[in-house]
Amino acid sequence: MATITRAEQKSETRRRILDAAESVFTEKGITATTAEVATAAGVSHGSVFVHFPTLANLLTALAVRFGTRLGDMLHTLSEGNSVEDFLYAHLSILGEDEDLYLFFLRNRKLLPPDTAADWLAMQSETAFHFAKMMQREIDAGRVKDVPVYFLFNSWMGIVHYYLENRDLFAPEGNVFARRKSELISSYLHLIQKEI
Amino acid sequence: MKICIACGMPMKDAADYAMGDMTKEYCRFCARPDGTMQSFSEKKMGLTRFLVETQGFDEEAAVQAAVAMMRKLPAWEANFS
Repeated sequence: MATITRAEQKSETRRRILDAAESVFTEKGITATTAEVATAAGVSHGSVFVHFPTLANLLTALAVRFGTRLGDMLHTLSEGNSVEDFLYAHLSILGEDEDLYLFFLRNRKLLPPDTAADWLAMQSETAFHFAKMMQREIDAGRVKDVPVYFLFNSWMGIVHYYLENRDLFAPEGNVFARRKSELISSYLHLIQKEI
Repeated sequence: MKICIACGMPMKDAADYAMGDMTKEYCRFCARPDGTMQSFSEKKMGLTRFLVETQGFDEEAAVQAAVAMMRKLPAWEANFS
């Protein structure tokens, strides 16, 4: 039988605490406590502090975990793939963690400065890949010559509006699972040049 | 995979590294043309410009955001101590 090393056990506990924190914060909001996270994770309150000495450490780890997943995917896609593939991947990743994304979106100004900086870094990484891809498309004459920041902000505006109002757009739950194709095709129709 | 100590970008391929040199700790965007790492003020200016160009931030808000992000990166620790 395989033996679990101390390091593996520590890493597993850390993951459990993060998973629990994601559920607790998305359900109860920014005022949720580390004690509630400990209960949800099935660990002692002290164990949460061993892994995450402050609430900011815990929130930051959540933001970084999500940001790393998103960044890895977009890094791969911004090079040779189509705009459609890029937007599809963006919404797929957000769709996997809609609740967490919405939590950060709504609470950005209330986050500890450290966490807010990581959240901004994540959005900036998305903007970087987005701009690189859009500039390539503008240069190739396939996308209208609009400032890349405006193309990015328009896309994010649509994404955030549908997410903020998902009870109206997809009352059953996941708004991107239901509206992804429509959002992407309509946005492309707005920005692409007639050929 | 290394993370650039000066901007936090994940560096996966040689092309991501300064001068394509995978022994370096910083990325191509944080290097000067001669391959040395940019200074704090050069990086702050570059990151500010990047935020304005890619997200349309107000100039002063972009400076504050750039500094907040740099505060968390190992290359600039001494600038905040």
